[in-house]
Amino acid sequence: MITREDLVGAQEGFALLREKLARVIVGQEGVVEVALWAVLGRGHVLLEGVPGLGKTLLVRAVARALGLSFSRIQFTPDLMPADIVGTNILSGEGFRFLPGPLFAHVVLADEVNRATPKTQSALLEAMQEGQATVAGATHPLPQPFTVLATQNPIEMEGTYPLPEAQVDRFLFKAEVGFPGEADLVEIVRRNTEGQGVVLPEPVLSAEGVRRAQAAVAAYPVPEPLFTYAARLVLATHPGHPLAPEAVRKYVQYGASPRGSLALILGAKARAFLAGRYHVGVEDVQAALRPALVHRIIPSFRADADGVTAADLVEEVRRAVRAP
Amino acid sequence: MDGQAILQRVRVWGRVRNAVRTGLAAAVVLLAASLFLRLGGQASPSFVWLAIPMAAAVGGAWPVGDGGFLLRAGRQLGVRERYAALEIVIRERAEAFLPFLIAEIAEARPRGWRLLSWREGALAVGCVVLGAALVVFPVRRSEEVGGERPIPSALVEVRPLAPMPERPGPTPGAERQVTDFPELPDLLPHSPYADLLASLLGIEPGAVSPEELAGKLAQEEGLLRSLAERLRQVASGRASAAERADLVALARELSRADLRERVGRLVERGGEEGAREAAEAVEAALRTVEELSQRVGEAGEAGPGSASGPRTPLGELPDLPDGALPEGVAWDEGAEDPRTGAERDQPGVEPGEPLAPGLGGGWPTLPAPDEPVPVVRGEGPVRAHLVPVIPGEPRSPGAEAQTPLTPQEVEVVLQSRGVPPELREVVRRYFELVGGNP
Repeated sequence: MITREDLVGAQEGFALLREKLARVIVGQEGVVEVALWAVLGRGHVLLEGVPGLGKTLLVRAVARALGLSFSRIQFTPDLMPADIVGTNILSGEGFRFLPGPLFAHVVLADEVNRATPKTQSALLEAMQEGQATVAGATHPLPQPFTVLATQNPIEMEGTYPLPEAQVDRFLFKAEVGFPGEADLVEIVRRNTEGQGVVLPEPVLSAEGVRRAQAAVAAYPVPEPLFTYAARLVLATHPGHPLAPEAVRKYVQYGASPRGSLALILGAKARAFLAGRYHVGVEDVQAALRPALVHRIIPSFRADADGVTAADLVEEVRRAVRAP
Repeated sequence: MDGQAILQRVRVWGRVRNAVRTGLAAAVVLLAASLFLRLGGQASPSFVWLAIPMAAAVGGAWPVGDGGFLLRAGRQLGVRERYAALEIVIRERAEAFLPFLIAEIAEARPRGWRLLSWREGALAVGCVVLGAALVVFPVRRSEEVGGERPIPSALVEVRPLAPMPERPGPTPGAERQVTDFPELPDLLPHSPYADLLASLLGIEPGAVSPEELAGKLAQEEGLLRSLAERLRQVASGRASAAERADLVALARELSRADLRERVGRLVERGGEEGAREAAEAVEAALRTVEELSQRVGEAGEAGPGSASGPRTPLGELPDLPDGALPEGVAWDEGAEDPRTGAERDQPGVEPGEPLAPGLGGGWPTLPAPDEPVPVVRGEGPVRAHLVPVIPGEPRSPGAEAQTPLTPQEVEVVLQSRGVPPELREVVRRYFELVGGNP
């Protein structure tokens, strides 16, 4: 059970963390917010955006500010599972397990869709189970453990798109957009003047992050909000009575139950980061798009009509009455 | 204030809001129903308004839900979802959140009246609108919609009522069926006969008690006797100018305005013809009053609920105690019912002699004219031959023995049987048309 001091300390720590990150990362506040939701919700994030938008810098800055270990894996078609999980090597005392880059608190899986499905599965199994098995031996991953995977949405040649079942294992999906003019000017200025971009000093520690995760998990959520989250997910299914017309027309498969879980966890984390002690309807609504956009599979008709998953999520939000 | 007290206070506010809402809703429904009835010419019974406090009580006692209610109440009161969160924190003993939530709620300073939403506003507006509509459309009086209507004295001509045909006495063989006329205990507490009597005397119905009414009836009877005697003297040319002047003053004391004006006009016109005509009018009115006095006396003899009383419509007369009737109007115990064929005389008066005077003086009655037909203008003599029978049905075997009813008796029968006012109006209108007054 968390104490009042844990709660206050965690909130203050994350407030300072956001302040430090804002000095390093420009124009990606929404992505940072979702990344922190994932850390606080013990989940993982799929970052989608074209190259050069600062995704790697963002992840490194977050990991550094959190005081957590960080590793980066550049996914390529020839990457093998042992390359990320680790392997047993023969040493003087016999076989010894040499952990791969997966064994870090924050893992950046860059261009995850470039690896083969075999390697992707190894990563996603570790994400789901929180452990890795090598040669019959199970090795627990460090806690907290968060994977931030990136993928390029436009360059699809030579890639292995993640299967829907594996995409579902990411708690949130953050769409990294192109910065605006003012943000771009600021990015250029920071990277060309002085020492360039300097990563923030650690604000928290692994223990501090774990306490914050426990505090977020203890946040009180009124029963009607659980019902609301469930209805939002049900409304993404074209055969459900709550589904709006657009969903019936353009959705092939709706969101899984993990979508409801992501909605509530995201709402809790948002309330925590906002310094509130209660979860509200607007928190659930704010978490709607990051939690459901990658869980809705639009039909070919939607592609033909230019309807995106984000449009369908917005339709769902309008269709379901808030408590 | 601790968390439980905060939640309890919100629930109380919610109950009050619910009471207001249900009370207003009930008021709107009742006002709408009243307006509907009023437009139809009816008034809603007063006891239905008790539904408003009852609905408010039910709404106040109705349990308020926890999760959904606290969520909505928090938003309305400006504390957002904090009430709902507080309820969970207390239930799950998450002490870390408790002081923060209580402090935030206290800082928001919620006010209970903010729970009232547009629904209550709409209901209140509905109440005001419907209430204003009720003021605009006041209750139409019963006579306007066919209810019990006293016969206006201005419509009554001064020709005397026909002598009541003799009716079968209370012998078992000739006795009417019990269902024809209700027993006294079945009657309404307020008899319309008294109102009819009052209207004939020019008194506002219900303005005086039955005892006072009997006294006024006797007084009117005496006045009419005196007036009739003096008019006879004038008609025979034996009256002086001073006596004529006294006659005019005496005529002004009459209760009935139409009779007072007509007699006054005839006397002032002078001449034996006018005096004779006035005398006939007064004598006709005298006979009417005598008959009414006689019925009042019979009612006093029968007493309330008396099983020995005549089982006729006259048994429905107002309950007048014996002592309430003035001397000269009440009959002694040995007097007989005129409908049995026996003459009802005053004590000490031989049969055939004029009746003893009432309070107005000792003036003998005059013999009835040969053709006195009781005619209320617009009704005609047809109403003197009414018998109680259901229209469209064959007359019962005993119908031959049934005697005609007077219009007043018909009114009494219809009212005592619970016939609605609009139907009574139909019956009245029917006889008005039959009587030649379309």
